[in-house]
Amino acid sequence: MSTQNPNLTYNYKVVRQFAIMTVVWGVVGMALGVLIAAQLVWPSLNLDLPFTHFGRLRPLHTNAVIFGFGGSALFATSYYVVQRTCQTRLISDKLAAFTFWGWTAVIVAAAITLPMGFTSTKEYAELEWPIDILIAVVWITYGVVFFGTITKRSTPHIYVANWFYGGFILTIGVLHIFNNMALPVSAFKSYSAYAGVTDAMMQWWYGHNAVGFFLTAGFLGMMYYFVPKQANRPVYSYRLSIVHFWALIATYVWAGGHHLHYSALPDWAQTASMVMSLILLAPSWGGMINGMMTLSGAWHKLRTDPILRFLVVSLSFYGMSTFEGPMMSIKTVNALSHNTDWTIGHVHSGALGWVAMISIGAIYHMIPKLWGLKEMYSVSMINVHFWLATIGTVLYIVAMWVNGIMQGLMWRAVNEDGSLTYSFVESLEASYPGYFVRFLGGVIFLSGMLFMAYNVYMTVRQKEAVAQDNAAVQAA
Amino acid sequence: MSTFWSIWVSVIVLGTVFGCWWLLLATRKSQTTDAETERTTGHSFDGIEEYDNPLPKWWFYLYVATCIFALGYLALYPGLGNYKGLLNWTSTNQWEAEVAAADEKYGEIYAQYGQTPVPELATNDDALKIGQRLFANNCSVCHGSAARGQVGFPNLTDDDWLWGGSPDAILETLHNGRKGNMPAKGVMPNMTNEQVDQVVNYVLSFSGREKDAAAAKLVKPYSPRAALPATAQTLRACKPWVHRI
Repeated sequence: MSTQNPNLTYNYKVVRQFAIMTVVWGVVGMALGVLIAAQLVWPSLNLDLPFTHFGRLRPLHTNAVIFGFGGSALFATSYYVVQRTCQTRLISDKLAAFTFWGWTAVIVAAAITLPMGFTSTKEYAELEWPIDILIAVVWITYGVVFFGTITKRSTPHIYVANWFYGGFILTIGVLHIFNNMALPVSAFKSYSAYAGVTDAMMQWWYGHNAVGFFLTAGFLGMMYYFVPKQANRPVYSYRLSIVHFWALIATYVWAGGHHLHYSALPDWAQTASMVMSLILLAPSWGGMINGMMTLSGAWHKLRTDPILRFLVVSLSFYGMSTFEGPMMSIKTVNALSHNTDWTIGHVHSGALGWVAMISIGAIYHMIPKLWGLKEMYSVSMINVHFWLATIGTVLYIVAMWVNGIMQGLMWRAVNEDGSLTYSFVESLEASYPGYFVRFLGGVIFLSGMLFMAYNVYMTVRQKEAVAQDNAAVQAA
Repeated sequence: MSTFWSIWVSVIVLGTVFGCWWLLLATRKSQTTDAETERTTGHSFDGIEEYDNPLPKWWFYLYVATCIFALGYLALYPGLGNYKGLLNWTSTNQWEAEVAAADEKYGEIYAQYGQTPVPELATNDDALKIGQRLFANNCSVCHGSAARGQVGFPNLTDDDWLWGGSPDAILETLHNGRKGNMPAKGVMPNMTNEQVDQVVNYVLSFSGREKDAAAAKLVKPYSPRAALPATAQTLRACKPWVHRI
C-alpha cells in the first residue's frame, strides 16, 4: 500500500445506500417467499383477493429477491470493490446516485405493478415496458460508472473481481434489452416482439443467464474480493481464474435451451444447449476451487470467524448446485425433473445457499468499514444468523428434492394396462409434507435475516459510528 | 435451415467447445510449475495478492472429459445445424418409438375391451379401474372428481342426458365431442329486449365499441353466487345446462 494517495477518498455514500437496501429488500423479498410458501400449504392464505394471489405475489417475490436483494448487493459490492481495487474514486457521484435512486424506483414500481396484475408474463422479466425502459437507462448508467472508473484506475492491472462484475454488467444489459423488445399497446400493456418458439428461446436465453450472469458471474466477482480479503490470504490461482472466467462467459450464454427440452425448439438447439451446460461444470467449479483453496492455510479462522463461514458455506452450495445444474440439463434427467419441485429446490440451493450467503457475508464485512467501525454490533448474532441460514437452506432443498423426485416418479408411473397410476391431484396431496418443510425452512432463513437487520441497525446507529470516506483511514 | 445457417451454427458450436479447450491447454502450457507454489503474480489489489498456482490436475481432466463427451454427443446426436447425427435420433422418432412400444405392450388389452359390449364392461372390475383412472386424469378437471359437474359442465351422475345416455351416444360424445349451443338468453330467459340491448353494449364495451355507454353501465357482471336467490327459478328452468350452482 505504499503507492497509496493520502488525498484519495472513495464514494462510500452510494455503497452505504445500496448495502442498507440489500438488507431491506432481503427481508421484504424473503418474507414474500415465506408467504407464498405458506399459501401452498394453506391455500386460504390467498385471502381470495387478486392482489394477494399466489400468481401475482410469486413474481413479486422473485423480483424482490433477485433484483432488489441480489441487485442491491451487486451494486453495493461492485462500487466498493471497483474503487478499492482500482485505487480510485467512482468517476461520477451524480451518476452513481442516479443508479441508486433509479434502481430503487424500479423495485418499488415492481412492488406496486405486479400485485395490480400488470405483467409481460416473461419469467424474471415480468415488469411492463415503461419500467423496462427505466431499468435499461439505469443499467447503461451503471455500465458507464463502472467501466469509466476502471479506465481511470491507478493500478496497472484490472483485478479478477472486476472482470466478473464487468462481464455481468455487459451481458445483463444486452439480455435485458433484447428479451424485453415489445410493442406497447397501452401504458401498462405490451406484446413481445418475438413469436412462438423464438419468443420461448429468447425468454430462456435471458432467463438462464439471469442465473448465469446476474446470480453467478456477478456474485463470483463478489467472491473474488471478499473471500481473500476476509481470510487475509492470496487468491489460490490466477491461472485458474483466467480459464474459468472466459470459459464460464463463453458457455453460459448457450445454456438457456435446456429449459426447453422435448419442446417445439429444434432438436439441434436442445442438443447444443445440453452439451454446453455439461461443459459448464468445470468452469463453474473453477470458481469454487479458487475460493475454497484460498482458505488453505487459514482453515482455523473458520472456528472464530462467522463471516468467513458464510463465505465458505456459500461456495459449497455453489459447487453443489453447479453440479446439479449440468446433471438436470441432461435430457433423460430433465424428463424426470422438469415441472417438478426439484427445479425449485435447485434454484434455491443457488439462491439461498450461494447468492444470499455470499451477499450476507460480504455485507457483514463491508458495513463496519463503511461506517468507520471495527466490527459489527454483535459478532455472536452473525453466528446465530449463520446457523439459521444454513439450517433453513438445507431444509428447503431437501424438501424440494424429495417432493420433486416423488412428483416426477408419480407422474410417469403406469399400470400394467398402460393407464397412469396416479392422478395429478394425488401427487399434489403427497407433496403437502414437503411444502410444509419448505415453509419451515423459509421461516428459519427469514428469521436469520431479521437478526441481520437488527444487527445492521444497531451497528449503524452507534454514537461513535462516523461514516468514513477516506481511503487512508480504510486501508487496514 | 439453409446451408449458410447450418454452417454458422456448426462453426460457433464447435468454435466454443474447441475455443474453451484451447484456452485450457494454452493456460496449462504456460505453467511454470506443476506443484503448489508460494510465488505470487506480483500484483496487489487493495492488499489482495494472487498465487501463481497451476491448474489442479483433477480439474483439468474433468474439463477435458466434459469436452470429449460434448464432441462425442455432437457426433451422435443432431446439434451441428442440419447434421443429423450418427444415431439419426430426433425427438419425434423417439416419441414415435415410445408410442409404438406402448401400442405393442397394451394394445391387446384394449383390443379385447374394445370388442366387449359396454354394459358388460360396466361389470368388469379391471375395466372400471382403468376407467376411473382415465376419468381422474382427463375428465375430472371440468366435471369434478365426483363427476357432479359445475357451472357450464354437466353433472354426469344423474339421469339427465344432453346428448343421450345410451352406450353408443356416450361413445360418440367421448370420441367426437359435442358442439354445445347457448340457450336463448342464457340463464336469464325472462330478459326484456331493453336488458338484451344493455348486455350487448356491455359486451361491446370490452373492446371499446359500445354504442350506448350509459346502457353498458347498467349491467352488473354475472356472478353465480349473487344470482342464486333471484334466479333460482330460471336456473331450474334450464336445468340441463346448469345442473349445480
